[in-house]
Amino acid sequence: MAHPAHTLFLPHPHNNHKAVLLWPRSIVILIGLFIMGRSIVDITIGLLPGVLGYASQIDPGKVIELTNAERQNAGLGTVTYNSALSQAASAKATDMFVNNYWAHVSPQGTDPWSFVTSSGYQYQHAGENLARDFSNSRDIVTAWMASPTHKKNLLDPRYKDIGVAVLDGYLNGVETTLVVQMFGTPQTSVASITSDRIDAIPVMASEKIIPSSGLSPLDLSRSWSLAFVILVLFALSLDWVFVLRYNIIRISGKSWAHLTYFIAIAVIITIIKQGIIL
Amino acid sequence: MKRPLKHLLDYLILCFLMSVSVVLTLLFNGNRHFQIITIVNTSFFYFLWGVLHHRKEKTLEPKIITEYLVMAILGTVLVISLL
Repeated sequence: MAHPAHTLFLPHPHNNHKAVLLWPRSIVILIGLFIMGRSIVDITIGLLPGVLGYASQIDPGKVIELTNAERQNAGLGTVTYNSALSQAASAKATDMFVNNYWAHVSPQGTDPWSFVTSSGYQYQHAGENLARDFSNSRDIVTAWMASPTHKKNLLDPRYKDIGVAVLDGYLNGVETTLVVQMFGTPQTSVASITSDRIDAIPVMASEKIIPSSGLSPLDLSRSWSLAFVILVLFALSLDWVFVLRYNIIRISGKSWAHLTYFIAIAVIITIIKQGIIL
Repeated sequence: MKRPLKHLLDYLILCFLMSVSVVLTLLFNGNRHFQIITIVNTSFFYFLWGVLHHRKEKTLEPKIITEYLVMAILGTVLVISLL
């Protein structure tokens, strides 16, 4: 009688010369186990807010510095730090945490310009870029530059001032970091107040999450997916080697094809980036 | 000599498909919607590749179709859960 571990991972006469783990019914069980595991993570997030989450260290000064570097590369003038705009950005981030939303306009209909006006900054033109779930400043600016609408905002020659706020808090029970970037052109005596509303679409951005407090649900999910891929790759590799070595003839899919597919899946899981801009 | 060459061509096509998928995922890293479309298409083409490859080899069986189908579903679920 073959050892169960042998029949689970190795082709053997007792398993019809195919590892039990690679049987279609086993793969269906794996899919079920994977979904169950993910559900446990999701339920934990819902029931115990703060158990999973992360907060990152992003320096607002660095965001401004990188923004100005991009503007200079584009041949534009730099924007100057403005405390009123930073206050507006901070108020916007606080509002998103308090009212649990992630958008330019709050569910109550409050637009970004209300925060700018409330901070005492009288603007001629204003713009807002948002980001969340990033862990460093460079990736945020890179993500904004990769998005045409955010790039247009970032490289708008009309802006003279900038304010940036970075706040840690909880959105939908998960700890996250919100970054709000406000641009403004001060109102002149002759100009009327107008706002420039940038219609930015949500875009996923290049990001590697580095948890600094608690477990990142994003990294946990990635590890969970990778664990399953590694398990399948391991079984497929053994299967392939045994089939080649012992010249096993059987009715089955091609192990090398499955291997190629799951190697691609492993690469995709690894390169999928988190971090959202709006 | 013909058989290995046939395999090589099929394998190159599969490698090309998978490479395109990886590149598209990387390019669409700013867009969750397109990444979902990419992985669903990748898995579908993988399944299709399996069916066509075995049909060409005259080894196509319902069992093999099921095998490629569940493998494709597993791969899709593993990636989509992250998006």
